[in-house]
Amino acid sequence: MSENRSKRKDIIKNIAIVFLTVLLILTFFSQTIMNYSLPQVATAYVANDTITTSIRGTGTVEAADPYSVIIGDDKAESATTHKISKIAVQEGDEVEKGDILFYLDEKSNSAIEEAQKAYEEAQAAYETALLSEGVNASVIAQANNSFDAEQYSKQLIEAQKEVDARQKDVDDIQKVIDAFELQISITGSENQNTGVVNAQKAVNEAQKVLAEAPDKLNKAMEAFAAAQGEQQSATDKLNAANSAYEAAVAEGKTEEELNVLVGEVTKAQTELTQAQSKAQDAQKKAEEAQKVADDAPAALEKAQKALDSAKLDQQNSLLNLNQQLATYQLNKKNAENILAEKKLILDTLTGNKGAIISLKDAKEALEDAKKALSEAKKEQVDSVILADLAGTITAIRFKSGESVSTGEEVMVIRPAGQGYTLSVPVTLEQSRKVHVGDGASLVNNWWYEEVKIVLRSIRPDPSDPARKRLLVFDVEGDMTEGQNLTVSIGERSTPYEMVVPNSSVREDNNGKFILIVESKSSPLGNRYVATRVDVQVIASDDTKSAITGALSGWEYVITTSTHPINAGQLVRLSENG
Amino acid sequence: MKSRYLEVIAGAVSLGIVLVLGIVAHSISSDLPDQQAAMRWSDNGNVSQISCYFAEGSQMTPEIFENFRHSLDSLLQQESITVESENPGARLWVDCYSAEGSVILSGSRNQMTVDAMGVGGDFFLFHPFQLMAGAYFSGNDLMQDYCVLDETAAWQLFGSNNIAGQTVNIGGVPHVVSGVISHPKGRLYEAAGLTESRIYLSYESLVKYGESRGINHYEILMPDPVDGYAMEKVKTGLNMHDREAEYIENNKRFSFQNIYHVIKSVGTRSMSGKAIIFPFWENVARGCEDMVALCLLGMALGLVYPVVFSVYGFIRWKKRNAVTLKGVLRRVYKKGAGCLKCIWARIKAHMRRKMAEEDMEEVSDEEMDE
Repeated sequence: MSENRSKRKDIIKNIAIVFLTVLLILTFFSQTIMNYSLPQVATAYVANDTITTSIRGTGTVEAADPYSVIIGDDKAESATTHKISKIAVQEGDEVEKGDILFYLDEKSNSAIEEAQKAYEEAQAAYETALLSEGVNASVIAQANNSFDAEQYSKQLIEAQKEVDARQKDVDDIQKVIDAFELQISITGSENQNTGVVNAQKAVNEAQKVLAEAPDKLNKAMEAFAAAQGEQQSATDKLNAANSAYEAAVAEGKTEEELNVLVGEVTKAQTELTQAQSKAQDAQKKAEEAQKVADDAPAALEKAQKALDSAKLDQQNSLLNLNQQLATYQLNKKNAENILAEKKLILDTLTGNKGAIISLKDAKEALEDAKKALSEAKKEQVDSVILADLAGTITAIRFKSGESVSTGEEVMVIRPAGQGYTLSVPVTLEQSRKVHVGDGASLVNNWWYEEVKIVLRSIRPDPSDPARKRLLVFDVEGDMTEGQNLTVSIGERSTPYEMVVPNSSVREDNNGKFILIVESKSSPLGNRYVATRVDVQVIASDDTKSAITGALSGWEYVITTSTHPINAGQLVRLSENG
Repeated sequence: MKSRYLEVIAGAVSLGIVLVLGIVAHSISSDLPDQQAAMRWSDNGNVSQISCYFAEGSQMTPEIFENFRHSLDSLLQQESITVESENPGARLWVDCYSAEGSVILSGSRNQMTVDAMGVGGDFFLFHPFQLMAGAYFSGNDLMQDYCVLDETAAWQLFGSNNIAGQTVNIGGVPHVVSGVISHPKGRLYEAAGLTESRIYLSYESLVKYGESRGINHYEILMPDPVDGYAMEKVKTGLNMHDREAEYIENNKRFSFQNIYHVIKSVGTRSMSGKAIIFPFWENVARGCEDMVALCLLGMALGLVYPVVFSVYGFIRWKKRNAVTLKGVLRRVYKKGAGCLKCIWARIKAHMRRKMAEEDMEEVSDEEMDE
């Protein structure tokens, strides 16, 4: 039993010793073990520095104002082909004005002979047309001027319109004259002159009234007397009826009898009223007939005066009308003269038209033939092509033995004294960083000597005018057309207080940030913690970025690490600093 | 006794295997920074990383993505999804596109043809390769003539890694080396095609000065307020036929559901009906999916023995102690009743004590009054 107990104690003691040993070792080497398990980071200072932005781009060098060498006239209506027998220069050669560039095979003159023959035929046809009937100086003058058949037709139409218009004027004047004559005949006729006729009627009427007035008066008076008589009898009748009634009443007649008498009284009253009214009417008529009889002589006199006045007016009107008629007859005569002139012009134009057209056609045919002859002469090219100016051959498009058409570019000469241009495509944002007049430097510039490059203009890029621009540079120096150059422009250094390497700027959904290393002391030594600081990038170049944020400056910012790091994580510094 | 020890040890070993496989699976899935952009972008988990891979000849252009960006901005604004950060430069979403091709590089020492990836947008935010020197570049930079070399290309051209700021001619045009990166190494990466030298440059430079095989990849980090929102918006916005595009939600790639689908798709997973060539990071992720699926399968198998052993042990203990359900319930009832009785007795005693104390106080008050 005790043996077992001592054995167990030994086992426990051994286990405890092993455990404590392991604990001690782990404690002593805990820093080392921990360090090796932590991600290793490289750091840099947040310091003040400069940000140097530059815009780089590549383009092809072109001659600033190249001269194209072509054969013949590029404006000729028809192109002809020619064979190049020999090219006398090479690309890069410098030539002077008058130097031979290349040779062409000779061309036949058959085209010129045909054109010459056609010209002579047209000349003969024109002379024949000049001597034909109907051709006078005017016709020749018109044919020699810049004759336009359409214009001539317009003239004819205009002349016809003039004649029509003048004829219309004459007709209008004639209408007016006819109207005046009619008016004169009406005014001169006593039976048709309205004023005289009406005045005569008024006189006749007044005479008639005067003649009939006494008879009418007598009749009216008689009617009035008769009416008065009737009125008197009606009055007597009423009085009698009233007396009878009164007597009946006094006699005490019955009511029925009294009513009969009352009825008679009423009837008598009614008759009296009617007789009175009739008498009043008769009186009125008698008074009116009297008035008419009294006024009749004066009315007749007045009407007679009016008739005399109307006759006088008639005379005056006739005089006026005759005067106006004379005027219009004069106008008619003038209008007829003008009409005769316009008709003459129209006849002349019509007569000359045919002759002018014939002569004009002949003249145009002659000119066409002349033009064709000169074209044929132009198309004939020289067999030797010389340089029109001094310069450098930058491109030769054809080889010996190949055929080239007139107007086609055979070679390109860069005129002496001219420089080069370079067009570099950039984005819109990049173009805003540069200004016209900025100087540019070549990337890999040790390959070139004494090259000067200046930005001349900024244009929209035809391939994408909305989003791209072309920077056009003037290039001076030892260059070759067609070579590619990469330039750097717009280098402006701006100092900033907080600048960090680009690799230290990180981003997540809370924006851009950097991780700085903060040290914390612990019983086992310094511990380094990655701490997040939110920043904004205000400028950057190829290697650095200027930032703003809650930084005092000179913090250690983590640039790279062996493993991904989160904020708050322990890290160890790289042994290289 | 000995057999019991063996059983326990076997159970412990199985659990240990499950644990180890779990650690391995977690290590595999967390060692792919290309798939963890959503975690880096936001801690809240309400952001999704969507990757789109297009078939050869789909003729995607930067203008198509520009139009999609504008429509996405309008859509998010209409649905009142806005930036919550106070930092004025914070963005709601970021994206990138890339095209594979090749260029001819000329450095200070020699000339070589390298595989190239023409990128646009914030490519390196999605693919934070380890920087040996310099920095990444972005499609939002003012100049687009930067390039990033891998260390193999840097050594071959310049003999050094520390070449940030040097120029290298691509198609005869100078480009500035903004940084040098180191690609991950391993069997998977080599199988995914990451064996040759590689350069990353702007898409415009690749098209102008190299040979491009067209834009085949597009990735975006955007808000995902509810499950599937981001995926649905991207699919609708890009409007590609199902046979011409593959869409992946990277942040859910290693979720239990997705790995379960991978296991289920054994046999059909290797089939491909679309003319899509995946980039190396996607090939690596798919390889890792297979490995994590294997781990998950192994974990499931490893759990079989402990579970079976536990169930068997329970049944055996139950039989030995004649444990029945009725007996267990009766015991629970007795225990419960006993506890209740005890509690009630204590309450009564407390009440009695309280009443006695009150009586005592009344008596003393009366006495005081007298």
